[in-house]
Amino acid sequence: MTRRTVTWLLLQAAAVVSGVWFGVWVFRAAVG
Amino acid sequence: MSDDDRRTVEEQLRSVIGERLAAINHEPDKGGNPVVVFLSLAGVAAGITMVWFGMRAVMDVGGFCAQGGPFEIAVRCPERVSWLMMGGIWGGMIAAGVYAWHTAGSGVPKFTALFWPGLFLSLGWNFLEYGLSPPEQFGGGVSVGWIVCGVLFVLMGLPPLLWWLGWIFGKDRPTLTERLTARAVGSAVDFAQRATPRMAAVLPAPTPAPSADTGFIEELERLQALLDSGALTDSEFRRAKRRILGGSL
Repeated sequence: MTRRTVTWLLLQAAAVVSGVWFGVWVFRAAVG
Repeated sequence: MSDDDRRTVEEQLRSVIGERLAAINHEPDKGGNPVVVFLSLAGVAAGITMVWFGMRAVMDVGGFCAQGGPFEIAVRCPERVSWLMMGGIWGGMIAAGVYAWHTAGSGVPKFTALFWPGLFLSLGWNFLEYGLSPPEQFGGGVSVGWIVCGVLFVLMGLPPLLWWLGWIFGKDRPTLTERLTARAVGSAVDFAQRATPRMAAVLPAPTPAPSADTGFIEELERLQALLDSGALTDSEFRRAKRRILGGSL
């Protein structure tokens, strides 16, 4: 596994975590 | 074509075709924009998360709700949940499309195949959880309808996930180049085997070329014999001899 692949995997893991966090935040803000 | 010939041809073809395909396969990637990949994948995750929480909010009030319109509403939806659900579904689908389009054909490791299992397994979990223990205001027990939905969702989401895991972690799977090479070599050898007898039947058989060196000496010897026997006069002999030598030289 190249360094480039690892970087892409880390970036995408961060994207998933951020997306889930954002979804929860929007839901809580809207519905409570 | 004998077995040995076939093996030799196959090896030569495999080396030539394999090199060409490997060269095509390793052409430089068009890459991917990290910002687009990050935002689109985060959008998919956010969309599924919003749909997941929205679904639970609706199930908390019994699974059916409505809002707006001229009708009498039995169960009012939790505030703004329908907007969140619609936003999650459409936003997630658009983000999934952008992600799939942007990463396709690039060197970016891609997870498009996980979107479907991610959506159906997470929503299937909701169905199973609420089916096995519905909210208390609905009398407890189990909800067969929701369990059936949960099982269906799991059946829809699990096979693609297992396929993806098998594909990722499969040990001995041949590479695309190897599979394409094997197919191309097989086709080429089959074609050659079928074509060879037909070509042999169509093409004229090669005829051995007469040897000029030996041919004119034999003719001269025959001519000399005719002269010696008196069948040819001196002048006839000279004309014939000149013609033979002139034609061969």
